[in-house]
Amino acid sequence: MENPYFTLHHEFREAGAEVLISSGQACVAFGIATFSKDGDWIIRENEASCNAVLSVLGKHGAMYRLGAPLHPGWLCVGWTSHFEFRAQAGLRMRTDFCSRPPRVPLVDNLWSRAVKAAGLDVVDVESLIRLKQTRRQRDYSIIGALAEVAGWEEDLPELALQYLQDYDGLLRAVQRWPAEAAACEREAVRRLRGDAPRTEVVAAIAVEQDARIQEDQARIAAMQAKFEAYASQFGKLRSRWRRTGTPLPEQHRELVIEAESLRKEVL
Amino acid sequence: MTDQEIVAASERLLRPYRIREDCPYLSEDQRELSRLDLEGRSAWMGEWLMLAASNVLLAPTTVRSR
Repeated sequence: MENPYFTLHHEFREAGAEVLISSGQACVAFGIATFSKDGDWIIRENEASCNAVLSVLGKHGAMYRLGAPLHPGWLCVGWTSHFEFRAQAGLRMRTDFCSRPPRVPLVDNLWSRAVKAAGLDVVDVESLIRLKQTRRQRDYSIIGALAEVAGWEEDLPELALQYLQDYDGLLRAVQRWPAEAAACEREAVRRLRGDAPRTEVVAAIAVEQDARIQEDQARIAAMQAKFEAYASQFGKLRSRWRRTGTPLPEQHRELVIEAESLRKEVL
Repeated sequence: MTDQEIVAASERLLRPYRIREDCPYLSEDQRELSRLDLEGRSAWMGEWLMLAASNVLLAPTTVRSR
C-alpha cells in the first residue's frame, strides 16, 4: 500500500493545485520519520489551487475541521484550513493547508527551493527545519536529525552549526568547520569555541529550544484569542454538517460567510 | 549556504542514503528507512497506517512526526 498522503498529493497535482508536502510527510519523504499521522501542505495563494484541492477533497467526502475556509482571502492573512475524511480500510485522513507558514520569512523561497521526485513536491530541508521549530519538544529531535543528515553529511556547515541539537555533534561540527563556527552567532557554538564546560553548552541548547517553544506557544495563544468566538460558531456548523451529511462545497459556502470576520485579523 | 546547495541536499535526501550508526537522533527503523527509495518509504508509511487503523500498537521506539 502506498502512503495515502502521497497518493492524495498526486490527486491534488492532477487536479491542477500547486501544493508542497510539508512537515511530517516531508520527514517521511526525506527518510527520517517512518510515520506521520496527518498531511500538511503549503498551497499557492490563488483560487485555482484552492478550488482544485476542494474538488479532490469533496470527492473523498471530506469535512472541514476547525479553521478558515480554504480561500486566498484567508490564507493571505495567515489563517490555515483543515479537513478530514475516511479513506480505504477506515483510515482517518487529516489534511492541513497554509500559504504563509510561521517562521519562514520568505514564502517565495519555499517555492523556488522545492524539490520534486516521483510525482511529489516537497519543501526544502532548511525550510522544513524552520517549520519544525514548534511548541512540541519532540520536533527538536527531528530538527537535529535534519541537521545531521543534511548539514553534517551533505557538507552544509551553516545548517549543522545552526541546528544540531546534541553536544557531541555540535562539538564535531565546530572542530570540522572552525571558520564557519567563528562566524556563527548561536550561543551554544560561541560557548564551544570558548571551551566552556559541557554543561554550559547543553544548557545553551536547552534554553534555545525553550525560547522557540515559548515563541510558538505565544503565537498559538494569540491566534486562539482571535479565534474564540468563531470556534464556538464553527462547532455548531460542524455538528449540523455531520447530522445532515452536508457536502464539502456547501460547507465551504457556509464557512466563507461565517468566517468573514477573521479576514480582518492578520496573524 | 546558497539556495542551490540547499536544493541539492534536499534532493539527495529523497534518494537512498546511509545514516551513521551512532546518530543520536534516529533509531534502527529510521536508518533502515533512509536506505530505501521513495517508493519503499511510501510503502513503509502505508503499512504503518494500516497497522494503526487495525489498532495495533505502534513501536514506542520510533520517532513519529506530525
